[in-house]
Amino acid sequence: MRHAAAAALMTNTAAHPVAAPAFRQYDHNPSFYDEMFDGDGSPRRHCADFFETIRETPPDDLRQIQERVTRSFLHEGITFTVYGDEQTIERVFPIDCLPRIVRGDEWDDVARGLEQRLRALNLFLHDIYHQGHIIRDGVIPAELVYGNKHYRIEMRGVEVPHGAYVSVCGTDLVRTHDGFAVLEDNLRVPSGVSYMLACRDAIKRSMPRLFRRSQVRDVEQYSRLLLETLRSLAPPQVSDPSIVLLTPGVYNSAYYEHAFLARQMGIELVEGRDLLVHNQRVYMRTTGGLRQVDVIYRRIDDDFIDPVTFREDSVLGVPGLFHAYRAGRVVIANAPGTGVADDKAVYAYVPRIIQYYLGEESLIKPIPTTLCREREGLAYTLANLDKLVVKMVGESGGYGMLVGPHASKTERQEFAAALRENPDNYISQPTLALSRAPCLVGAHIEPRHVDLRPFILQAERTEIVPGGLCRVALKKGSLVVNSSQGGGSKDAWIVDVPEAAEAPAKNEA
Amino acid sequence: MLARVADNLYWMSRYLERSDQTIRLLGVQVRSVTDNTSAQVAAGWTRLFRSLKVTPPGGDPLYGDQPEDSFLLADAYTLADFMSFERENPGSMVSLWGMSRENARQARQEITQEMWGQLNRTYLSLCDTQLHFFWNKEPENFYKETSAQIYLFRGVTDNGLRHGLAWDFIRLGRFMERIQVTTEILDNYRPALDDEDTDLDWSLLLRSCASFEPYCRHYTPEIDPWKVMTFLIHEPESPHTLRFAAEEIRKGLGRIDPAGGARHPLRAAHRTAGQLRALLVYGSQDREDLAGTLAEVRRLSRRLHDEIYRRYIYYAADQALAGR
Repeated sequence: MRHAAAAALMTNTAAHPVAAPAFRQYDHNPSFYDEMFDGDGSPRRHCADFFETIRETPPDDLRQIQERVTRSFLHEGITFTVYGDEQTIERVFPIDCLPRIVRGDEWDDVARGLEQRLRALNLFLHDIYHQGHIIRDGVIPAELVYGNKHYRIEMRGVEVPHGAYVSVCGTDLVRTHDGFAVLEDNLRVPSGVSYMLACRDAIKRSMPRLFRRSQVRDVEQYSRLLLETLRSLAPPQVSDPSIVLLTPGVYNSAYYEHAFLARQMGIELVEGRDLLVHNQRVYMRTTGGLRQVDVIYRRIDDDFIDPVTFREDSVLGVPGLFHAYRAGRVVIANAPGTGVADDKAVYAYVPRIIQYYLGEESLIKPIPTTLCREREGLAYTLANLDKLVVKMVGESGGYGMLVGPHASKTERQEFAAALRENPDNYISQPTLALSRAPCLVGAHIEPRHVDLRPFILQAERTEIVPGGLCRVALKKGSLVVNSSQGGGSKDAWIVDVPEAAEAPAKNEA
Repeated sequence: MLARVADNLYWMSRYLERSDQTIRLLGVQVRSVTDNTSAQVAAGWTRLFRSLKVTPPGGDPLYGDQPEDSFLLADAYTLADFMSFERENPGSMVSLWGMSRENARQARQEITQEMWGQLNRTYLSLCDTQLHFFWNKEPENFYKETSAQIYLFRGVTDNGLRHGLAWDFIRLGRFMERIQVTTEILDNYRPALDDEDTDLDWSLLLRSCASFEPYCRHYTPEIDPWKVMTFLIHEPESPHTLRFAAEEIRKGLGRIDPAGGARHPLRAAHRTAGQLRALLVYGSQDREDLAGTLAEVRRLSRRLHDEIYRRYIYYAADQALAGR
């Protein structure tokens, strides 16, 4: 690597894009936006230096970088366990060593859009748990809100500090030829931020020179910002709040992340059994007795936080927690009941929600969404089933979904029947041509589909670290980025490109 | 610190100490295969299984009806494999590392990155190792190197972790485990003291307790069975004697909970720790009291474990709310 980086520094004049061995099999398919290359196959200006360096790096060195990055994940313990017949093995979450590079000015636009979106959604949540103006004004149908299974009647009238129902948000963005679009909001217990940070750490250590030269914006301050956010949620009379992270426990697939964040913030990582409620106060069991807790960053779903208020069969939660919350003795972040705002049917109304509360146009373009509950919407969806993606309202993680162009005729027919049966339950969207980014596959670099999940913090202020978890569908042609289905992740670099005069030589193809 | 996390740290440390003892006993046993008669080797295996309270494959020498020399030389590979890499055996070296690591995983916010890294890396490399890789080369060496990984872990713990509550519970776990296992090892050597016909090599006991060199410095390399026994029980400055462990436990409890002054009542755990220490400092060193002393150490250390748990880990919430 040292050799390669030095070589790239000295040979910037060699501007002819001779296909490097690693890029030889790269498929420049113009129907997808490519994160690194222009339509004509030459590297985008903000990727030019990176491309040159990688191009000059022998495939063996690339493989070694990839191995180092993977090994650092293994040693860090970012693994999931596979129980086999013969032996139990630990698998590493797949990580690709080539970062996705995003131009700083494009990112700034996205960040503004995300901030606007979350501000509007928090106002929306406050409204629907109080007067419900937006419903009386006929902007959104009442049954979409009050009939939503994530609407928590128990939250009505509860005052939330700074109106921040959602203080930690992870929004899934995709890019097409038309720019960035929001695929979905995750407003309940978004995860993945530890992979963003661990990825960054691993990449930084395995390609230090290139990283330094690229002037990537920092993401390391996330934990500090999260702690500040949680601290600002504490009840005003508490000067030095005791903050904990509530996890379902070691068998949860995101446990690594919970432990990571607790460690980074220097707060206790608690399970339900470590907490108890007495006189509407929440205590944790320490070796020195019981200690009061002021703020709970919970990573447990609404349903499980309190068996007295919500699911009574929950063993993960804390009996009486919700009463302590209502009484204002403890703050829970994110607040219960935020799931109503990241619902797939409500998604279609977000531009209208932004318009209603802020009087602004949505800065990030929405994906055109058709509600099957409307008669024309259903007709349109049924007529174009082979072109659309149809999703079930209130489901997530790819369940209850039909990807029209990839489905068989019988699958479509079956789905159409279900749709007619209960049209209220479905929405449809056009099938998106997700952008692709170069990934190391064996000894070659090939394009794979990617998305991006930035994390937004909102309490007194809004904070967005420049970057996010970039998920990759490592299987060729696949659009599924979930780690359970062959997805991996890669680092996302937000870079500021100097003006043209200073830029490395651009390749004229 | 969270009570549950203290529990995790305590057990992380106990399992690692037990793994250390297991590795050392295996190293000694593997070495004795080359130097000793097959009857001695068989007796060695029996002592090993009894000291670690593990049921060997094929029957329990304590309760079974097999003669004690049923472990033949030919079995050594099977037995060593069973105690090193058999996952079905919760007392095998790799199982103990695994449990130590599982506990560490649940206490990661209290331990350092280096501690986790050392525990995790060694565990992963043990998972990739099999007995036949080194059995015919230098088996003793493998056990020594694995032991060294534990010393490395203790080094990063002592030099990287704040010497606060977490460190105290880790240390408490180590010495609680050490005093219990060492007591069992000594008790299994005890009958040989009265056996006129035995040609037992008592340096094996010293090596099993990592005390061969301290003993030689204190006395001479001349191995006297009774001196070995009293050394391992009463000597105050060697880290693997019962007395040393008892002193460390008492000091540790004092740091965790500085009760016991004129204003604060003594906790039950503090009293028991004091009794344990008193027994090993001031107790009888007569030969006829040996069995009684070991039995008393066993009883007190078990009680101490329960009292520590009742006080710091599983206390009743209503008592804690009432400030008791």
